[in-house]
Amino acid sequence: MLELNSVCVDYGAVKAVQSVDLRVEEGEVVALLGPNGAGKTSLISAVMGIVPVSSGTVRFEGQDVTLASPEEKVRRGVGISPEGRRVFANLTVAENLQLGASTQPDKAVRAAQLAKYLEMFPILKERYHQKAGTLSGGEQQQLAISRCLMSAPRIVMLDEPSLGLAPVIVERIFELIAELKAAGLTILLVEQNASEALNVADRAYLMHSGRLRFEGSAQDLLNSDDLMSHYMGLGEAQ
Amino acid sequence: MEYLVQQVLNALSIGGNYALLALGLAIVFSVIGLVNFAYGEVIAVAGYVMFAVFMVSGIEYAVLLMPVGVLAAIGISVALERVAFRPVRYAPAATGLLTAFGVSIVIRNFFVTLVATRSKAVPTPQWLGYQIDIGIARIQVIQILETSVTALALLLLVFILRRTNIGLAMRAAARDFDMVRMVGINANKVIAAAFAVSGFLAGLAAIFIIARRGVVDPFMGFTPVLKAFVAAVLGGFGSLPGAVVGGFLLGALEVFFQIVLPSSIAGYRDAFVFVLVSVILVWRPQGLVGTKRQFGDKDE
Repeated sequence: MLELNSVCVDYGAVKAVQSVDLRVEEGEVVALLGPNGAGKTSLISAVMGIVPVSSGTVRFEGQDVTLASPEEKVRRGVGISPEGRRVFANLTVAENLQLGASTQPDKAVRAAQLAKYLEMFPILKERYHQKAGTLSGGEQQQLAISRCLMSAPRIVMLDEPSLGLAPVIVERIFELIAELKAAGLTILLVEQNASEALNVADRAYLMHSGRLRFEGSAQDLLNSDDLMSHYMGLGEAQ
Repeated sequence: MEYLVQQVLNALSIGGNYALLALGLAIVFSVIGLVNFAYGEVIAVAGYVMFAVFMVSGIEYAVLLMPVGVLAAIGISVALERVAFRPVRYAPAATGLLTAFGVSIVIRNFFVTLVATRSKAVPTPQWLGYQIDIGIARIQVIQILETSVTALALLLLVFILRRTNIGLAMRAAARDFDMVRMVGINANKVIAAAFAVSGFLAGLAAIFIIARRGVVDPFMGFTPVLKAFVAAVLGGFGSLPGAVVGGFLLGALEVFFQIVLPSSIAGYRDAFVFVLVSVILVWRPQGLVGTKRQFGDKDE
């Protein structure tokens, strides 16, 4: 569904991403792991079109979308919940969700989507008319994810959904991801929290210093203490 | 009492004009971080298009010329974005600023060269100057119109910003433009809408400026936009409510100093106003309504 071929991202002289090959098949949950500064967010931003791909190609559903703008990608069915959540703090929860559905022209479909995700994320229903800036981190994360889902994406890229959240909230977020997976959504999950991510993922990529260091099943990576300790700085895989 | 009411109305109509223009500057700044110093020329273009239509068609009914002025302002504002500002959208902020100065110089000299440096008369309805006795005061029709049209424009703007998708997108873009694109909203559309709104406000302001002066000249937009810029900074640059508050406050300060200064130093009115504005800004550098930068805000 999503296919990257030798994608590079440069910021001036800094090579943030070097020749990454990555693919996500329909219905899969793929984890992209790596420590801070590995280039994960740069890669996702390049896939989205927010930062330019300096070489290589991005294909989505067989079509070359390397040069497509972010808005074009969303219309084609790529959704993103970005790092740091980036909810519109000055708008209400309702307005954030409305903007999330901007690409959906059909009013009835929009209403149905909204009802569906308010049921899935009941806290958003409670906070519906509150400014997004007044929400807690975990609530904002749920808002960011549902805002992205409102565009009815074919693939969702979740960038560090557990970042900065309390452990009990992190657990809840991963439960939600598991629910989305069960509903058949294709997910590219970018995480530093390797063990949680690998529990929900089918396959995984390990990224370090801008390059992919490992590609394989989530189970293999979980079982490989060497890789985990070497690249993720964990004493042993939990 | 009568004197006081009249001065309050003065302050409202002058302040209303500043508020319109300050909003026009603020809405563009909040969406793309551009300080549009070519904004005065949007006013001038509105004036000259009214003048040209008057010359060519001979329409003397000024009321018919007014919508022409507003449409011209919207048109030139959107056109400038497309031709001049879009190519430098992702350049550093200073580039946009210099582009705006360049555009301003080109348009001004276009009128100087092709029309004249001297001012040209544009018909204005006589009844704008009529005085109406409302019991406690005698007021000019133009003051009532200015104040009420400003109020209506503000209500319309609030409606657009709160109830329409493009308005929501503009408010969202003020916080995080890239994220607006990542929910699938076309960046060009949001920016064009901001420039259209900005042009609309300049068009309204242009009509009142011309109605008071009865003439157009190439430099007619300079002073009003300079004042509007001060008003916007006073309220908190980039904040839309701040622009309105700043506009009306600046109008009130001008009228206040006009009243209290003895006639021998009345010519220094603006100096007194600006000193007071500076003092306010020392006390609140972020402006009266503006908020301090928060984590996650744009860093322009």
